[in-house]
Amino acid sequence: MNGSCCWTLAAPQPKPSMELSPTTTACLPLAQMSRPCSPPSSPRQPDSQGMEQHEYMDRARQYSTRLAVLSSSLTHWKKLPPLPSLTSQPHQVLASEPIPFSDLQQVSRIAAYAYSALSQIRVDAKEELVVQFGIP
Amino acid sequence: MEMTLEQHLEDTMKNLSIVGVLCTDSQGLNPGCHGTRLDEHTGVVSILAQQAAKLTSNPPDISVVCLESDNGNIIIKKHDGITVAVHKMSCPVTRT
Repeated sequence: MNGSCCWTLAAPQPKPSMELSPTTTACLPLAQMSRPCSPPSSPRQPDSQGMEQHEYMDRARQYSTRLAVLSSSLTHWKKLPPLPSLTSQPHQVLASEPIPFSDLQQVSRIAAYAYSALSQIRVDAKEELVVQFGIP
Repeated sequence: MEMTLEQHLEDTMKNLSIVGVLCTDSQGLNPGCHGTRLDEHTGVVSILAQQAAKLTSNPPDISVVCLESDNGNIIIKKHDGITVAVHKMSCPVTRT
């Protein structure tokens, strides 16, 4: 077989530790057919064929231990700052009367007058900005 | 040249129930303020009004942001390029 993509019908040699069952032996060729073959130099191939069950368990235990160590060290993100609260009794605020419409109208008038006042801001030049130079 | 705006803010503060008023532009800058320390939050006031305006799909509608708390209400209103925040108490405040 060359390195190009191809489909293989050959099943891997069963390991002595694996329990052979009719479904396992019958499905192996089909499982192989569903996966494209990988070149002999693929790094994944030695692991899939050389590792036994206890090695899988040891590696899984090692990964879980590493994950537990990492998650315990990442504590800064757990201490989230509390959200600001405008009141200690939100139900009381929610049950109270809403803001009167007269207040909204008052704020609208204040905003309109403020905009009018700001639009009146302009630079009053005391002297002419352009000076005529007279050359005698 | 900002005398008109200052006078307007002072007249606004004559209302006993109003304890603070703040004006801010679209960039979060502070043209004028009076009363409670709203000037520390000019950027937040400006952004709140801008974001609230995006909630409505009808352009003529101008939204008003109301922050209700135990210490009164802060009403934020945008008028063209200027945003005004008024801190108003539920009960009139006595001033000496």
